[in-house]
Amino acid sequence: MSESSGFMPTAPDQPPAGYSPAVPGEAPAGEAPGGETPGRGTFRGTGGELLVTFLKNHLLTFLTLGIYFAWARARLYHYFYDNTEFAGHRFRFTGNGKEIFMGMLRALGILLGLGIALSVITVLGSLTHNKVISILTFLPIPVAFFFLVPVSIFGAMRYRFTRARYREISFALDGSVWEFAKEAAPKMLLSMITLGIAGPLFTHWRIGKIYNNLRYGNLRFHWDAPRYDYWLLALKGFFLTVLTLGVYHFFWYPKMFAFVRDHLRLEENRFRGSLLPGEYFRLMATNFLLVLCTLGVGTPWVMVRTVKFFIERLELENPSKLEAAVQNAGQAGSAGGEMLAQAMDLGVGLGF
Amino acid sequence: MPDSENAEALNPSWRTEAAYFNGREAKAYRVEVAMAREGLELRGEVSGFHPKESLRLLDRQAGGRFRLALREPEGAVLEFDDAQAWRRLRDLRLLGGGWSGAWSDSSASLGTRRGLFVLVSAMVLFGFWFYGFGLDWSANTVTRMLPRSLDAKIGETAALDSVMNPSKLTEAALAALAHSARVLQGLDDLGPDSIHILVWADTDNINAYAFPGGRIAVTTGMLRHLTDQDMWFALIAHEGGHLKYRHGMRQIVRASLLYACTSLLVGDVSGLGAALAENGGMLVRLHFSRKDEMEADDFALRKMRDSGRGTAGLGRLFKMLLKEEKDFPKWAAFFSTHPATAERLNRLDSKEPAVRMKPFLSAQEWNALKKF
Repeated sequence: MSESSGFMPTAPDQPPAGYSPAVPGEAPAGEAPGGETPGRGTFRGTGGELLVTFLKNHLLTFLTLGIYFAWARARLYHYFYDNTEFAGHRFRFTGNGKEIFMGMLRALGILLGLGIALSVITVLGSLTHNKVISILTFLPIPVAFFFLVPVSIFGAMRYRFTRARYREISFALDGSVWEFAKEAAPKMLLSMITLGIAGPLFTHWRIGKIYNNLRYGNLRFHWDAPRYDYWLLALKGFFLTVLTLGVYHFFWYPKMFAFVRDHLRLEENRFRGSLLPGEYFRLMATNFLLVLCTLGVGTPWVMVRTVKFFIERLELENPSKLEAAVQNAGQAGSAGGEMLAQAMDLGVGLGF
Repeated sequence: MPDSENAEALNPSWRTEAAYFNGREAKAYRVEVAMAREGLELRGEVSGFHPKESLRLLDRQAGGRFRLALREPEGAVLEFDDAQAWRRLRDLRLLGGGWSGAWSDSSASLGTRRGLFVLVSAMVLFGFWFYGFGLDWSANTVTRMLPRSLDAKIGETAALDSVMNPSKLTEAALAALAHSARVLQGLDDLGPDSIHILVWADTDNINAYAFPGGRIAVTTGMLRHLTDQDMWFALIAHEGGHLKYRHGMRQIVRASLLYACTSLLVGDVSGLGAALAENGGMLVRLHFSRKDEMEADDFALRKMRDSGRGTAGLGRLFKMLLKEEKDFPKWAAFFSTHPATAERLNRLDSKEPAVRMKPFLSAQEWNALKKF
């Protein structure tokens, strides 16, 4: 065909684009139970790209006196989601700055409203000049805290999952945020009263509550870890890490990784992959040196290599079974919880 | 949507491969994609023609990875991993008239060395501009807007006792300081309702400070090096200049603005409130700018001339300071926030006749001051 028609000849030996061996029919003889090669993850982003994203975000946030923060957050999520690949296909973040900005306003409204209400209650209490009433008026503050934290955690997780797409099928987090908060509040209180001894039980419950309500389209995740095994593993990790001045952490963390992996599945499809203490130590040590030697400029590279490290160590036994997923309606979720978690400086994670 | 007429009209001699998702199921359909100016033609497990108006770029990452949303069926997406396909798409201008007409946020995550260079350069240039001009202008504007009463409040909370070791003063010394303060207050409308001159027990340091709200602190080291009352007058008149032009307040505002900007830049505003609250204590650590010092010198010179005593006292003060600053290199003057003393001395008119007025402090008061 002539050039004017807008077509060029196809490169004869060009490999097919957009596909991986994980696509049915192309997978080599596998190691997984179904004879399939396990689906592996990879992260395709680079530290340089992340640095540019950081610089843009900081500059624009600075110039807009902080308003751009919401769009900066969306840009960052895009970077991490869109560069994460699993079994040959990439995730996609579908959220945007506008909805995060609205979430920011909502979180601000909640915190401001709550702050004003609590202040009014305590001031009114002090006006009665009755010690018992004055003390009682302080009670709503911890109660509000014990509800706000789980609301933020669940809200943030719901927002992140509902905005994640893989093969153009959305994730969804079912369940009510208030139910989650109602159940979480006493467990958090127990953790506090026991000075953290019961903390891993709360974490175990939280992971289970999130994973067991998590769906990929119509496919459900399941978490079936015995809670006392988790509790023992977490406590052992904490105390031995303290006793060995941190050395045991590098042996404990791979064990925790394996524990979570072994008790997590997507329908009947199990996760695989391993993490070795030596390689985990190398990652942490080099990350530390990288940040130290570059006076912090190397942070984007540290983030990228850490994400890459973990994503590349997680496998799914039969990735072809993901093709059975169909889009199911789920609760949309808003960015309010996400921004509440940000305002309260909560690290929201899934237990890995 | 498939458009058989258009599809037949195209000659698909250039193809690439992509994954097609219909948005309803997770199955990846393998398709061959032919690109032309009119749009895309899909063949394989899914076929059809999609005019360029129905294409929207969802995201683009380094290495030729990009995704296109198709208008129909709703939710359908094509996933490419081919740098040549991206170039082809761009050359054919297939994205210019996309149905949303906009790129998604994710396209911005693409980083290039050139982009990095431009951004870093822009930030550095902006930083220089802001530090050199913008910051001072903002500090002046904000200071002018703040009420004078705030100066006194900040001066009071400056926690002078925590940074200074007050000297034990005799009655005569206290009278000398009070008398000097009254003289200073009589020179001009300096702003503060009352002026207080304090003595800081520090023999190693030859210095004096003007705090917002009317407090002037002079070190015992400075007092020890003053040989006559004209030098003392020049010194307090200079500090009076700092009070009149609110240099202390301006420095606080400037430092706070700088802190606020840096906090915003690094995305951490949590320490901002605490830093603002601590500003009183940082007064001693702050230096007035070269411009502020010159302005205070000019004020002192004017007041010395107005009082008929000439500028010789200030000249002797500078000469004394110059003698004590043996190790300060001349070239460093440009980088210093404080102008080099020689530079300040040169600004004085050497031809001005030396006039020695009657001392304004009594001999007893002056001796009490000099005893430190």
